[in-house]
Amino acid sequence: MWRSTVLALAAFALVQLLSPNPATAVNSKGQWVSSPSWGKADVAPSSTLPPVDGGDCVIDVLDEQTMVFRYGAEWWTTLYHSRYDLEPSGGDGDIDIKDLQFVFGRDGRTCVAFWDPNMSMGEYSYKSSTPTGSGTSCYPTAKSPPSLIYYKDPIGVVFYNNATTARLEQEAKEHGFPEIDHDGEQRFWELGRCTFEDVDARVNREWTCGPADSCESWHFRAERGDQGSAGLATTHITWGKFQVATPHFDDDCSPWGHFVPEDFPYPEELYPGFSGSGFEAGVQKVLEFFNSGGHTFAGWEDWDNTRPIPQECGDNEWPAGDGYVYYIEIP
Amino acid sequence: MKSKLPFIALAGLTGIVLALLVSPLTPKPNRGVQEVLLPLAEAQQGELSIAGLAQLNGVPAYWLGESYQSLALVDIQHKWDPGSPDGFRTPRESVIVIYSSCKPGLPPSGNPTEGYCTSEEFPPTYVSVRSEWLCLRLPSVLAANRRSGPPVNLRGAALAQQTTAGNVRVYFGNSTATVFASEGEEATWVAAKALRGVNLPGKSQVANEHVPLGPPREEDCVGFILPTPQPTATPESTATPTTDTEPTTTPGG
Repeated sequence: MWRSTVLALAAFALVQLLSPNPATAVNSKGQWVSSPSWGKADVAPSSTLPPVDGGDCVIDVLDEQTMVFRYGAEWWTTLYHSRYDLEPSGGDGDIDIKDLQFVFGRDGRTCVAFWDPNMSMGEYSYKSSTPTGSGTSCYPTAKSPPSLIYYKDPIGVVFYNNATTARLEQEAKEHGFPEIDHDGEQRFWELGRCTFEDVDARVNREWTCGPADSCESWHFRAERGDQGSAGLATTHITWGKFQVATPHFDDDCSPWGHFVPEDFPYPEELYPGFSGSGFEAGVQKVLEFFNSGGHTFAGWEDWDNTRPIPQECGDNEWPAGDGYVYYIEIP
Repeated sequence: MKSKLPFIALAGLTGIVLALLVSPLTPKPNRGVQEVLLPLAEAQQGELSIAGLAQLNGVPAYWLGESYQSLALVDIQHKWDPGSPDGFRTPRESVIVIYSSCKPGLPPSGNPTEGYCTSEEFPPTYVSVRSEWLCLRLPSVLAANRRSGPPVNLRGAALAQQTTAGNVRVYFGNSTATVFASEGEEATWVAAKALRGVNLPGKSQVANEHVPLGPPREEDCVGFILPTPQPTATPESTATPTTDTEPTTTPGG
């Protein structure tokens, strides 16, 4: 018995050594659409791009190898990692046959299969006022904004799975954004319709703000993508209940307003080496806040919403998003 | 006993190999990919002058000249980021060049001066060119439903993709250039066709707006490591590029 075990292990080790993509590789294509169930099974990255903590958009032999390699690992061993502890949801402290079945049972799945090609979604939030006067329809404003002035903030995060307005507001409060507003300032274009924001969450960066000054703050607005109205389903096939969000850092423009800076002024507060606009900093801040709460990060996509957006205050400020949109699970 | 020796030896070798395979999996604090791929370095961000842009020795940078049509060059941004320690934010480097009819906002003095937008002039008409490494912005990574129509060839074998965000992505050589014009799709394509290099790495690929662009070399991305810019690329934070700025290096084209 032990001989066959040794032979099996030796064969596996040989395969790993000869494989161009061994199970210990740390690369990933990154781009894939999240799925709360299938996405987690895509555990093995495989290409040359710098990775996110996800796979390569296909569940294949690499993922299965990775799981087999860890089969039998318990929480206290070096082989164990919670990333591979897939069953039950949240893990049970070991990599057992149920975890392997979770991956093997999804062999051949690709993220492309999850993508809804008919989905029509905007890339930005838009100013609330509409050029059509007293009409309440924001269709022409958000579908085809008539002027650059209507573009406000790029979408940088998708909260998925169970991102109802109540749940997202609860999570925002628990993860660093305690101030919730309901002023409906901005609009979004999602799934063939236009609506006002559903969640407006903020936290001041400083504890106190001067009376003649506005506060520097972290801020995001979010809009529920499908609400069961206008003939839309209440749960999206890929994302479940989801909201798109526009995280950013607001710099104070004393004494009368805010602007998003093209260079985030406190990069050391994020991580050594951070370099990006207030839009990029906002996304990173949301990732940090929610990472501390054990949320699943399903991956990211390139939405190309990178246009510089000139700011009305500040000095010649042209912040731009980097076009990447991150998927964060709301349980 | 004799017959077991080969298996004992094989078991020993297997143990060593497996140990080598397992060791990288051991959880480590701040286990980030950039620790594997990149040297530690400080972030680099800020405004560049035209001279600073021309001397930038990192990412190949492209522009439309010291001015473009009736628009002045008002802003040049350079960002270099090794990626976050948790690996969620990937390494990146970009140069953004902006041509505009006026500057938004106000100068530090608070008094409007020439070149800044009046309330009637805001938002300005503008064109932006964003330069990145091809390997960090591959054509295949662009989300499927963000592509507006099929990709086309531009100025030779470059791959150009209109996106739903209103940009034109141009993939060529080792570069990805993203062009946006506030005047719309046609103006964006006109600007994309006029791309040319501005720093040495950019000019080595596209000396001027007339040379054909080569195909994107995705195959060269295997093992790509984001280069760390040399100290000469230090941003000049006080510089404000204008059409009056005298470059110390003749820009391409």
